[in-house]
Amino acid sequence: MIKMFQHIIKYRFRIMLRDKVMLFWTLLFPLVLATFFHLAFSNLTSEEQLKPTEIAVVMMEKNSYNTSFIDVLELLSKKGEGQLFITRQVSSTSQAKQLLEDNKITGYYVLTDTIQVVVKVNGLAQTIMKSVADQFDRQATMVEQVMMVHPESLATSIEQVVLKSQNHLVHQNKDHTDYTVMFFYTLIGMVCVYTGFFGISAIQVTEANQSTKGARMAISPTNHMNVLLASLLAGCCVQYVEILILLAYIVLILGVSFGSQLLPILLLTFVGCFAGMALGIFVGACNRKGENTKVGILLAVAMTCSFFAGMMALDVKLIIAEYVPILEYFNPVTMVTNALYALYYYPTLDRYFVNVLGLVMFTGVFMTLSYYFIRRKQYDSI
Amino acid sequence: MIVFKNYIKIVKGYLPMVLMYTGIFLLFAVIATSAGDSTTSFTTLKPKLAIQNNDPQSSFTKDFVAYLAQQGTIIELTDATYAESDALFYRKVDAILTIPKGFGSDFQNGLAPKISSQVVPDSANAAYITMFINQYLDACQYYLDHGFTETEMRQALQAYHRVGTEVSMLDVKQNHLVKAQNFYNFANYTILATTIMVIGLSMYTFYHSTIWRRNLVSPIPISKINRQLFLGNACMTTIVWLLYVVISIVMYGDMMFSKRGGLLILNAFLFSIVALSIGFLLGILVKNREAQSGLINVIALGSSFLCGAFVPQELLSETVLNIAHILPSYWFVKNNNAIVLLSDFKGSSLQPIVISMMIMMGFVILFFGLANIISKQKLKKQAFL
Repeated sequence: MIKMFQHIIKYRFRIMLRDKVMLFWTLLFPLVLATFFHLAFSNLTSEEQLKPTEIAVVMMEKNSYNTSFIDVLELLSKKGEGQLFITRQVSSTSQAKQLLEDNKITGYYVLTDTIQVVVKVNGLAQTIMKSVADQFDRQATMVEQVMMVHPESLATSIEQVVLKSQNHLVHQNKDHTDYTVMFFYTLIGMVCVYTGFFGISAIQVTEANQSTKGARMAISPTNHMNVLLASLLAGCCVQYVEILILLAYIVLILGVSFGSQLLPILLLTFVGCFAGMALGIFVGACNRKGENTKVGILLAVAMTCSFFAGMMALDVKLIIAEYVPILEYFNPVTMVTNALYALYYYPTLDRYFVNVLGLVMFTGVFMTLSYYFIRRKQYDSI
Repeated sequence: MIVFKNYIKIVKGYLPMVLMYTGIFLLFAVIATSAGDSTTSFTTLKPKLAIQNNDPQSSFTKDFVAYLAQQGTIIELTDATYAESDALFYRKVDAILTIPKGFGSDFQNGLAPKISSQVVPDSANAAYITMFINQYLDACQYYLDHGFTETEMRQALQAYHRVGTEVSMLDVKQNHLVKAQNFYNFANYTILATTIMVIGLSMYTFYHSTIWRRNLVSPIPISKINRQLFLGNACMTTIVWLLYVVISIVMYGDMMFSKRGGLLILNAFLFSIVALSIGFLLGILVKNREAQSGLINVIALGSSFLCGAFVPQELLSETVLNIAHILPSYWFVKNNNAIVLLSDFKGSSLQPIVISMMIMMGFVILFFGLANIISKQKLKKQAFL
């Protein structure tokens, strides 16, 4: 009995490892996709980082007001943390305009009797340029106001106003705010669902109504459930190893952060594997179409699930989470993604376990459904 | 035209696939190109702020919150525990500000209470938010230090906010073509995927050894077969290209009929020919149908990721872009970007665009040449079989 079980497992392994197409889609393709993600997304978050903006300044009139504004700009262009600008002084507006037209600078200041900002498009860097000039103008106003309302208290000059700025904020910096990790998480989720391919092929060769090979297996003097379980176990093992390879590649070679909790990740991917397998068995057992069609169906399901989990656009996932959050618990890819995200971003495990539980229930439901298609089948003729 | 008719018959089978890709594409095109800046006047950028106000009674705090609402967009985060942190992670808000209890009175009493903020570390948004909050509170502090009462301060602040620098926008012709640019950049993926698939798989059908041998012994000369196959391929490529042109015209209307729009369409046509040549080469080179569909996916996704079809080229690292130079998609996407930025149509401005187009044609010659060499060698081999 056990010997038979071992025998089947051994041969299923050999069959699966020789199926190059299957190995390509379940192992090589995710690896390639992860590499593409890494190459394309590695710079994505740098867009929101604070980088010094290249600007120009044209002094049309030389007076103390304008000179002190230049001083402010120089202060803000000082190298180091919090540097806002890289300033260059040019002699004429036409020169500055040319620089702006050639996209060499974000914008420029024209200093006449007032300060004027010239930009080309709207954006944060342009807004900051305006804000700096606003602040400078306003400080002069402040001094004037004090002179009008409470002249007796005025002992400071403009320069001192500039210097007297405080930080009124305490930043509680959040760690792990790199949202590009989510793409890799959806990828892991997708590969978990890919376990279903092995589920389909197991059903295909063990169910008498699916293939001639299945019919041949059915008349052999072994327990039908044993044969099926052995095939499924072998499939799960192969896919789990593939997931581990993918994880190792993503973490060790591509350097994507998964948080620091290894054991929960291993448990999650294991459960995810079974969820994918359950889905595959269901797709395999619920109809009598050919294997290619079933693979096509599962592929479409996996792609749709990945799409709704945010693999192609993170916004899609957000829309689902906001308007129909219940759908998240029907989507194994989302559940794997959410659990990995919880491990990465939250210090506690409760949200992780909610998703793991969701995956277990998902597995249970599809296993039970499939069981009704598979159990106690007898055929007089096929 | 028996070969041509047969070709069309085979291709018809792939029609659902083409429609599926086009459907997915449209979905993305709508998502990706719905955003876009087309204003001609300057507006300040408003960061998204979530505010947890633990001092709602104080009038000082009320004024402060009103100021924040002016500088940024207030996002209400009502629901459960995770909403807050999730919102920051997914960039639904740029900062979560918590105003401590008794903030207003503490501030006025000179106790310098701090507002706690959660932001994305080192982000430009965080820097800007810190900047405008500090500016306001510094001003308040300054007034208070100089003996202003609360009413005096409020009046002073009103005058303070009326002062502002004038911003003018450089009078550049506004580019509404940016959306079309994103559209055609994204089309890099679908044009490649559909064209290579259709051409590759139907070529495979014809060049499959037994069928090919059967055709060789038929009374139709091989050159005629090849000519008709070429005609079929050309038709298919044109149809796929036309499909995208029509969609772009439906979506973006008149601007596709401008000179720049025309250049975008021409650029897409040249790229379709590149896709045709890749499909042709694959059809001849790869003997296995499954291997072919694997390769199609890797090629289409790979060149889209690496060449800036999904993520804009300026956000890709230099190494990636350097590698991308060897892929035709790079030149296609680069050209789309250049065409939209084109300031005039002088020869010197058009030169880089023409060069990129010539490089694309170079790829076509290379791929067709390779296909030719390979198919000749195959023919020689078969002669002895």
